Order: sequence, then structure tokens, then C-alpha cells
Amino acid sequence: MTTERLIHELAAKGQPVRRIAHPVISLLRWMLVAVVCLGVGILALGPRPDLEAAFQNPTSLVVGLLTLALGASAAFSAFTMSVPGMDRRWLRAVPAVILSLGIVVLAFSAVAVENLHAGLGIVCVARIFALAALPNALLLTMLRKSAALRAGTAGVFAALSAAALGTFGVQLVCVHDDPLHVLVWHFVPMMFLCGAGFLLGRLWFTWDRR
Amino acid sequence: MDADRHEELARLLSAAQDGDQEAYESFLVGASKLLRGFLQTQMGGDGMVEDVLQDTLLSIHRARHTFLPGRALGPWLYAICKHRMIDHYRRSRRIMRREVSESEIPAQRAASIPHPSESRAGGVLSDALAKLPKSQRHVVELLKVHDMSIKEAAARTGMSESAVKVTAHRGYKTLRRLFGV
Repeated sequence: MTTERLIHELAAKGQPVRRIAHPVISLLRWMLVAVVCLGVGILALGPRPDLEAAFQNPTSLVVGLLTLALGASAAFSAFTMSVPGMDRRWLRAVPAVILSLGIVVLAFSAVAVENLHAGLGIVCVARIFALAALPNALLLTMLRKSAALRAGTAGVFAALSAAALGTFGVQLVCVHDDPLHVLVWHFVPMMFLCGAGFLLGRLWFTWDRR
Repeated sequence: MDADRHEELARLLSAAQDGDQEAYESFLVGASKLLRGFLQTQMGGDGMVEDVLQDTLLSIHRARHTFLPGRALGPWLYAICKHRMIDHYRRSRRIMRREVSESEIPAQRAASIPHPSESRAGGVLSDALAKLPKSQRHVVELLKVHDMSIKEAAARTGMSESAVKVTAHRGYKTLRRLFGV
């Protein structure tokens, strides 16, 4: 088929389309719903009784804020990656920097603790997965309507943002403040979810194959 | 000059998003001129420029809802084009890894390798394909031999996507019957 004929045929199929929203608007919409989901999830699981005291601990406060920032920045990266030409390398680096900062803060505070105890946090992992599931599904649905040129990477950022929100939620539920516990049972599961996100992104973001 | 051209194309694409098919055709014609030049610069003597351009136009069609009016058109357009170009090179590399060109096969060995239509499996398949009605054979070849998507096959044949699916389904059914599966 000649290019001229292809153009003519594509033009004939040029039905009106609904433009996607700007990544900032998409991020705000997603955050709004995700935070509500998270709130409901935390209430269902039961927030820790010493919540106020826990956030007076500077490490918990900083790690909590960094986790929230990680969720927002990763989601923003995923949304910008899904608009051709809007992807910026530095934007993709921001979540990695925040994640590294969180790990450094936890590692430093772990050095100061005498009897480190990671404990068994399978329940925490299950809770992170449960709290991340709905926000992740919503984010994947929103991103599928766009055109992610790097499908796998967009999937990683989508999973990371939902996992970060799930991790933040678990920090409001879990009573173990030991830095090693937070590192092993709250942060490491995020990495696993990122791996799953890569595969999911490759499978799910099929705008160019549909 | 280029900025004016981009602005005009952005305006046309914006109108196309609202369903203006004439504006859309003008946009695609203008964009293909820009992209052909870009691809010729990037791909040099590669004879696949027109194929990559057509793939890019199909991608633009699928992603046209992601262009945000008010933003520069260039980054959007070239990001899609580069994506298709990289895709093309990946596909070519994959093919080169798996296939050996005839010129690289020593003459004696080449003579001992039967042509696909002469090999037993290739011959059986060619015979079966030849028994299909022309339209079914064409669609099955596009989908299974040329590895096209339903949309691409529809664009290539001028059929609707549903018609491609139905024709392919009938072709597979006939092939299954011919193979006794």
C-alpha cells in the first residue's frame, strides 16, 4: 500500500477522539481516589493505637513523608511517560533519588539502634499488596488510555507509586518501628512489585498493538 | 519557517481530534513530509524508510488523542517516530540473529537446503494456503507470515477490522479442515 493511500484511509477513520488530561490533572485525580482507597483500607485494617506518638519520632516522620513523595513522583513519571514527547530523564530519576534517600535514612537510624530486630513481617507484605492493589489497578487503567512509549518502565513507575502508597498505609497500621523491619518488610516488597509492574506494563500497555 | 509549519500542523491535529477529517488528512500529509525527511537523515540508505513512515503514521493515528493542544508538536511527533524507528531496528536485529542470508551459506550447503515450498512442511503449507480463497489467503499471509496486527492488516487490505477477523477465522477453519485437525 502506498503512503498516500494509507493517509487517505486513516483520514477517513478520523473520528473525534477524547483528549487525555494533562499529566498534572491525571495525577491529582488519581491521588484523590488513591488516598480515599488508602484511607478506607487503613480504617478497615485498624490504625496503630500509638499513631500520634509514632509520628513524633523523626525517622518515622521523614520516612513517611518520603514514601508519600515517592508515590506521587513515581505516578507523575508514569503519567508523563505516557504522553509522547513529555518524558524527561530527570523526572524518571526523581523517584529513584527519593527511594534512595528513604533507604539511607533507614540505614542511618538502624546504625543508632542497638538491638535491631526485623521480625517476621509477612502480614505487612500482604497488607502492602492489599492496600496497593486498587490504586495500582486504577493507575494502570488510566495509563492504558494514553500511549506509553516505554511500556515496561511505565509499568514499573505505576507499580512503584501504588506500592509506595501501600507502604505508607502500612506504616500507619504496623506497630514495629524498628528500622530493619521497615527496610526489610516495608521497602523490599516495593522492589518485587516493581518487577511485577514491568511485566504488567509490557502486557497491558498495548496502545500500539490494538 | 519550521516553527510556523509545526504550529500549522498542531492546529490541524487539534481540529482532527475534534473529528475534522479534511484537517486530519492535511495534517498526515504535512507530518509525513516532515517525518520522511527526518527518517531519511536518520536511516540513510536503509530502504525501509517508507515502511517505518507508514508504521509511524499508524501509531500517530492510534495516539492522536494524546496530543495536548497548546504544547509543541515537534517533541510529540518525533518521539513517536523515533519509537517506531527503534522498533524497526530491534525487529531487524531479531530477524538477523535468527536468519542467515543466502549469500552467507556455502554454495554446496545451500544447494542441499530445499526451498521452503520444496521442503515437506513448507510444501504442505504452501499447498494448503493455495487452496484458500484469495481474500482469505491474503489476510492469513498478512497476519501470520508478515506478522501484522489486525489493524495493520485492515489498513493494508482496505477491509474493516471485523472483516479481517472474520476472514482470518474462516481461513484458519479451512486450514484446520485441510490438515484434518
